[in-house]
Amino acid sequence: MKRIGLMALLIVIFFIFQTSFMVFFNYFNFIPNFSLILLVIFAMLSDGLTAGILGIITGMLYDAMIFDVFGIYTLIYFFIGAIIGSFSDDMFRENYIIYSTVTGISTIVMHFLQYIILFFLRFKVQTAVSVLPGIIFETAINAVLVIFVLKFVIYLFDLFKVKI
Amino acid sequence: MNFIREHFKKILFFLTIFILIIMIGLSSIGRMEGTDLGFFGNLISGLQKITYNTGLTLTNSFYSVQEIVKMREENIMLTETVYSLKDQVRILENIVNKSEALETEHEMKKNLSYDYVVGQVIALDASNWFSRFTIDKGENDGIKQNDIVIKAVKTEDGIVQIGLLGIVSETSSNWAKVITLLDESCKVSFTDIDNDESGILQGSIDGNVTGYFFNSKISADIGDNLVTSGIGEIYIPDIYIGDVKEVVKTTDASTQRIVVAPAVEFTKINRVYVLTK
Repeated sequence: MKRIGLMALLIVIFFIFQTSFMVFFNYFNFIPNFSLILLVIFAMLSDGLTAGILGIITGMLYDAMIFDVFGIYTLIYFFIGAIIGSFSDDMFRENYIIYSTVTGISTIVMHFLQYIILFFLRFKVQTAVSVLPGIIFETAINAVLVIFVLKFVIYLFDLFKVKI
Repeated sequence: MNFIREHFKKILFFLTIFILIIMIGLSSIGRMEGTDLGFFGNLISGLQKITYNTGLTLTNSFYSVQEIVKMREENIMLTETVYSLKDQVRILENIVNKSEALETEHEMKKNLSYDYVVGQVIALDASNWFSRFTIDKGENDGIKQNDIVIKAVKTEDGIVQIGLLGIVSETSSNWAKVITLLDESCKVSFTDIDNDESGILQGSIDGNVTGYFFNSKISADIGDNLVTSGIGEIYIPDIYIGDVKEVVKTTDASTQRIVVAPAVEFTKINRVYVLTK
């Protein structure tokens, strides 16, 4: 319980950091997505059910605090969290490259799902090609930053004597 | 029963996805209201405000050097004056184009004033797909859904509008969500004050604001000033939107699409003015 509590608390802190602080670093039309990075790490360290719940918490924060259409981010983050969590047992969790790869793929999947949802909500997604360079850079930077965030998470869990 | 027990997680997974899809559908057609997180939401918005201010202070101090402080102050003063003058020019141009009703119009514009609430941006969506932000004022401050959000400066003569930012999409007790002009779900009816013709503008995923005139035979010139027309009764008339940046012929060649350069730089918003109707 303490473990999930700490994970949920970190998700809230990272959400605030992402939406209110990282926006000042949006110089090249992309910023790393720390909420997604954190979710991927927690999902890799949990089972599908826990990761799904953490995904719902992450998504609900975005939907409730920023977006007017409820459910878009909840669905996306739940999907990513639950899928990674379900397969995390089969992955080699000690290998940083796995974390980078999964984060990179998750970033692409997140944007792809956004594209699909917006298509069904009748957005003009044909102009989406213009956001492609931003997505590529975001994927690359997320894949690199996940290693540092993972080390930070391990440090915090050790500090609070919570088993990962 | 055994089947449910064996596939419990899969059933839960697909059921959650199904429920969320239904929620997206209902929410997008306005049949379901957004979630108000209550005390938890207020707590988060408070922390967001602190974080945003910290980021703003750090960014500002990073760029400002002691020697140029004075220059910056002068610059701000001059910028405010320029905005004030631009506003006057727009109003005068508008009046001249409607010379028949010159006096009446002038009187009307002179007395044009709205109640407003000054809000501060506390969170921004920096994703590639949407353009939205959250402000630290909500229902308790008199803000309602569909209130207009503008960027403005306070001068000695009063509030001078710089340009339209967007519209309040949802309110909570202490914060409100705003959809900006750049977002695809934001549609604004406009009037070109140089030819007095009206049309519709819309944001898009690529960050461009484009539009067309109701009268397909009408064309705009680059640099034309656009203001809200007030058609549809959502947007207050005569709020400055921006200038025509480009005129593009559509594929059927009978109509023209205009690309607009908004008056406001959306990456640099901090204080906003919400016009409460």
